[in-house]
Amino acid sequence: MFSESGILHEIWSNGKARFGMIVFIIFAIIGIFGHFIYPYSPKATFVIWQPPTFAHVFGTDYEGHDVLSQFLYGTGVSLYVGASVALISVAIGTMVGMLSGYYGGIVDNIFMRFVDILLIMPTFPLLVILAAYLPPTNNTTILILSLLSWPFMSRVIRSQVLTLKERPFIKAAVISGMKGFTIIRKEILDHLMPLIIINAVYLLVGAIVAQAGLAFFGLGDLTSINWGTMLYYAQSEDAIVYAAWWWILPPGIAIAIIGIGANIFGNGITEIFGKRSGGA
Amino acid sequence: MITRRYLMVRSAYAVATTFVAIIINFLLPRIIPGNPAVTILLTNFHYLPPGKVKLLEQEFGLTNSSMLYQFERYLVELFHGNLGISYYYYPETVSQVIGTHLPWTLFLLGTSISLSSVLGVITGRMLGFRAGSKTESATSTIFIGLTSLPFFWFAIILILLFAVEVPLFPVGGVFYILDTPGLNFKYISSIAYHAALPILTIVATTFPAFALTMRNTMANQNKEDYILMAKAKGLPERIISKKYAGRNAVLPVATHIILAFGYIVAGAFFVEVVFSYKGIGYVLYEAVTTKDYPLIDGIFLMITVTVIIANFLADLLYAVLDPRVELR
Amino acid sequence: MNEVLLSIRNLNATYNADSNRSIHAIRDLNIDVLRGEVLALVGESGSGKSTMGLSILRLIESPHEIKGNITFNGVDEQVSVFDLDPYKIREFRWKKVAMVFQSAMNILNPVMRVEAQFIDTFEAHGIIDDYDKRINHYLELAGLGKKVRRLYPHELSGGMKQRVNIALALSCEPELLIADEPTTALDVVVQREVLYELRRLKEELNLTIIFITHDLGVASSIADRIAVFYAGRIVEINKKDEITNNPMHPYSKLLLSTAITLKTDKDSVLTQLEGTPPDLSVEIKGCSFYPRCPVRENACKSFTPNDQAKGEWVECIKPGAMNLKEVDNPRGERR
Repeated sequence: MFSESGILHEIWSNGKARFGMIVFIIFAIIGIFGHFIYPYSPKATFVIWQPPTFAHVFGTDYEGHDVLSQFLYGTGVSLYVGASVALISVAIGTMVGMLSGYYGGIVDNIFMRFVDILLIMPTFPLLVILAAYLPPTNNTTILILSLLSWPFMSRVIRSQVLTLKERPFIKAAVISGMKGFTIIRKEILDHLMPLIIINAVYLLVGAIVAQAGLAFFGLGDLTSINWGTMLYYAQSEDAIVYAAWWWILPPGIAIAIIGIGANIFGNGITEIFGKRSGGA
Repeated sequence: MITRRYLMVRSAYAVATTFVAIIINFLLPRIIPGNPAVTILLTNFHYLPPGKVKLLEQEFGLTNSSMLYQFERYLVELFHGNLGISYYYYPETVSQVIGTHLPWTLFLLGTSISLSSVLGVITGRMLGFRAGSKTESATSTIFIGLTSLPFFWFAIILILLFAVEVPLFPVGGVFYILDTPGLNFKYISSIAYHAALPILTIVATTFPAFALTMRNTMANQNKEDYILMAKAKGLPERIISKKYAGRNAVLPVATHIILAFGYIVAGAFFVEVVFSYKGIGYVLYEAVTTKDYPLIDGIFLMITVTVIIANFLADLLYAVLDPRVELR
Repeated sequence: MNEVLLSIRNLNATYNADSNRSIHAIRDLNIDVLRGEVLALVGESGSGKSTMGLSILRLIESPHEIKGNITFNGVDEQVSVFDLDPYKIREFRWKKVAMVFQSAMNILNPVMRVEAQFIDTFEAHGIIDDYDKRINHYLELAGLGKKVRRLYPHELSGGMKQRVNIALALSCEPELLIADEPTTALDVVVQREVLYELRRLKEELNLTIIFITHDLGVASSIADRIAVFYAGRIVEINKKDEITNNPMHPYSKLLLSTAITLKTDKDSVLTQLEGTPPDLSVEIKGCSFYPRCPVRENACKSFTPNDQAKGEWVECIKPGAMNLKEVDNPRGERR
């Protein structure tokens, strides 16, 4: 058993996991403080289609917005969407997974049949049709992405709970008369922590990419400035034809870096906890 | 081996999921508050074009009758293949629009998935043999990077590099307008020429993930008892790596490819948008940007059902590959 | 009858687990296996008995190392196993020496039918005709019906799998059969059947068998001679009756008492040897059993083992010194 700070310490001591953490911390800083450090207002306009200069380090776009300012501002929005989706899906997924795995029986059956159907259903067309009908706001995007993300999470949690249930310390807790909910809260949740962290990270990154994808497809709030809408306007306003690489590169590279960070972080976490528990 | 139980459970899920998709398709236009026809026309055109309201209402089967009756009408129309009329492609029906553009998507997907599977298995096997070496860990790191790239962004970069900066390939399109369709060399080579970058994008962003799975299972094959047994039996190296290690290592990769199928379809759509490749994905993008709801609905249903069927078939294929498959 | 079929000289096997840790699983081992006998290798896990089996087939591969000399006096030729080229060793495996692996292991290729796993063996050894007849024959020898041919491994029970393994092992008519814990994971009834089958086949086919087990009881039910392994060496070897009635090495004695007590009364005398075998990643000086031995004395620390290659010997300064009654309660006595 370990406390929260114990986990953080353990993660920090693994090179790969630390690399991932640093990537997240840097983006979090940009996301939170981006609003204060951008050189211009993201909506201010200058000369259009300018390549990078000292005044505009990342150049300007088709309407003359400063790309750096848009990027710094947009990072916050993209992270907000990603983090919200991760939070909601982790909460629902963990709850459902634990109840399903721990209690089994009818609860498990109903939840899992539902989850199975959601998992068989191809995600992308469903995302498109939901986003097309619902009002185009960032919160709608968060709602839709969360709705489609938790089933997988609950599956993962459930199977881990099933293995945990067979472990001696849980059996001992059951025999000693501890109540189901107390066991879930005190014993099981603790042991699920590595799994939850790793999935939260993947969900966060997955949601950022999915949001960008939806925006790129013209869905969601196109008036909001974020990595996805930057790419959407770059595509629809023919940035390719103008060879405006300075506009296209920043959001794409940011998505790629955060994705690589998540993958390496995931490998690190598996290294730390895989050895100990035999399946994190 | 395919047991009857396996077949039944798998098809039950496929049917149930299809049914859920149909219900979503039926309900979504109807649960939006207000008259969807009016709402949609207002958000779209900012005024009510004469006659369009009636047309839309009929389109959605929106009469004053009960939901159940509406659902019945909807199902009947659906079974006759009637998905309504497209706004954007008016007067073409949704089925016609899908019929014209689907083949291009199938061509793109079929080619990419085959190439990416084969490439993934081959490179993964090579990595597996060299597991632990410097080249291997460097390649694996690059592969992890490649799998983290979003399809559409990679596509944009490829265009920027190989169609704009160095104009080797066309910026978009399916074939040159001037070419006459048919079985002539010029037409076919034009198709291949236009499809090259889109296919390259899909393959480059999908095969590394398959390769990594293959590498992991290959690296673990040496620890398998049946490999030791095969060596003890005096089998030639070639047979061991093909029939024993290879055959068993391919199984997790096959699972991975099946699981990734829906993801690749979505990826192909993005690639179509970036390359203005007029397949179903590009049409869906048009439908979204022009608020062509009947077309969005129709494509949603078509894709969902196609992916479900493809997954179902892939499951059956997998059961043939792995004799141990038994359903829970 | 006393012709030597296999002779092992100065065998050393080292497992290089990672760059800074290597385990010397076998240390300077010498032994002769006689044609037509059943020789049982008995010891705890990690004592080197399975490693000896794998060494005979040269299945210990880089990064692990084997050194020494293994000579096989086949009916038609004499070969030195470690000098064979890659092609010859492939030919040697299964044709001269075949192996029945531990029953708990996942030995059959899960994606091939049973018959296909016979056929690839035949093809590898230049047997090109009468596949059907051969497969049926060996399955029948191992007490299985023809139907098994068309099955996949996961469709077989544990006992059936082990019989398939035996049938496979016999399929190229080897002169020597190594059976490595062939009955361990099986239940008692099936275990007895498999043992009976092996004994019968040995008579019928004039086989030589090396039988590896941790269970002295099982060993005594099948073996002609028994070799007791400890920490990578044979500490005692003798005819079965000698070992079971009058063990000379303290370890053999304790092992025997364990085997007997386990069957009768768990709580009396010993249920388990105290302590653990020595760490094989560091060099061992003197008698390797010294730290656990109830009758150890100072001289044991500098004891250098003598030549083992004779038909019977014991590696101890004062063989037979230990009286079981003395060690009635070895745990209490030694603390």
